[in-house]
Amino acid sequence: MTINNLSIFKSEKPILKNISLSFYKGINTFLCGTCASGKTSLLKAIKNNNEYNEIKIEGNVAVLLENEKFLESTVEKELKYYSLSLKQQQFIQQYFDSEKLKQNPNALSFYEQKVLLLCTSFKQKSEILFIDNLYSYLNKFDLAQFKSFFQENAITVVLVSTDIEQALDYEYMVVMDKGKVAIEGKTLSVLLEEKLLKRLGIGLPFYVDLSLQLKSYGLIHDIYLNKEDMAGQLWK
Amino acid sequence: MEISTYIKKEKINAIHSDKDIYDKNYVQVRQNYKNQTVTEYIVEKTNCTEERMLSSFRLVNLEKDIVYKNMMDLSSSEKIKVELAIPLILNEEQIVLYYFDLYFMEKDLLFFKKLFCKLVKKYHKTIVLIQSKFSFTFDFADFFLFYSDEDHIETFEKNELFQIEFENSVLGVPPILMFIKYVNHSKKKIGNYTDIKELIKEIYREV
Repeated sequence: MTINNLSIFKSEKPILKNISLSFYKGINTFLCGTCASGKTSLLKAIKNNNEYNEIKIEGNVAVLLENEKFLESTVEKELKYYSLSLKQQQFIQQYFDSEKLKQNPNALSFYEQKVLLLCTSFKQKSEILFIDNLYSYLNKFDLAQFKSFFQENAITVVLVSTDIEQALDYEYMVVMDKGKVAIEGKTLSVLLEEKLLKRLGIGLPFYVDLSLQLKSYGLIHDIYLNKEDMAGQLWK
Repeated sequence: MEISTYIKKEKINAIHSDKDIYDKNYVQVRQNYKNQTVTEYIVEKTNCTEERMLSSFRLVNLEKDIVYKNMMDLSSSEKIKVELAIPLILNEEQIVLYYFDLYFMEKDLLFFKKLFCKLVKKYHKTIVLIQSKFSFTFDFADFFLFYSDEDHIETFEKNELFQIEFENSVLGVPPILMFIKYVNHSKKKIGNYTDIKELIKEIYREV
């Protein structure tokens, strides 16, 4: 999927300025940015891609916006439950039992609505799935469940989030600022652009930050991304 | 006992839960905004003067010219700032924020941490932050409530955080906390820090 030189204006003011980006199947991407940098506007443009010649899509792409409205009268209908595979139905049953499936989606709890939004991606049979902030609502257990389900089903995720700790789970990273792409590349190489990220007000994941600072004192010589490796290097 | 009975007045309270404790009156980005300007929206909610609105906007770091923008055209971070301005205009004693940190990166989060501390110390407000992760709150909240159901509410003061057993918790735990607990358990006794700079100083002294 490619975006070539996309600009969008709202009330004559530019929201996105000459955005060019590519998203590839199999490469999970973490997309973050400063406040009002155009992240959600970009997702909305991808969702309404038929309005923009600058967006070229091959295959199925789905976009899950954080405050999406439910249009159907039951959870079951919203999910197109009976058209889904057995595996997908089993996954959904962990969260919505037969009684819940008959409920109106708008009557679900706040947390269940966020889970339902994520589950609606199944009916779209997407190969690349754009998720706007939804992962940040999930508890650790449910987050792991969704991540592994998408991975097992070869669904590539582009996560829009402010939770920088999550970035390390993604191969590629894009940072937006004032409607433009400020930097993009392999996640660790982007995170090592410490000065640029600091200028944008974007922090580093704890282990990257700790590694860089300890490296500058000559206490370690590499980047260590988990507690075992980091502690193992410091206290051999 | 209701969770609200645990809230400590004139403190920053952090409620972390894997259950739903949603209330439509909390400070949060709404699902539906009408086609109206920010001024119209604020006046409808608070019936305040322009001067009062602008002073609250300054407090939450919103620029003056936002008043002419349409609510539907705002970014999520601008919307949540407008929502936070409302209880400040109304001078509410208690402000409850729902998943507030989702809309901001580090620099802005630091700004709001300072603002919440100021609201408590200078204006005697009670702040309640509700979210599943506590990476945002652990280094500045005064009081923590971990809530899974009404029969199981655990409360902790700031200095008790390092005694909590998180390994099997479904809550998102700050990596600095997990790292220190791991080092203390398997390598060497080090101090309990919430600030990475303080942790680095100790590592520098010890390694």
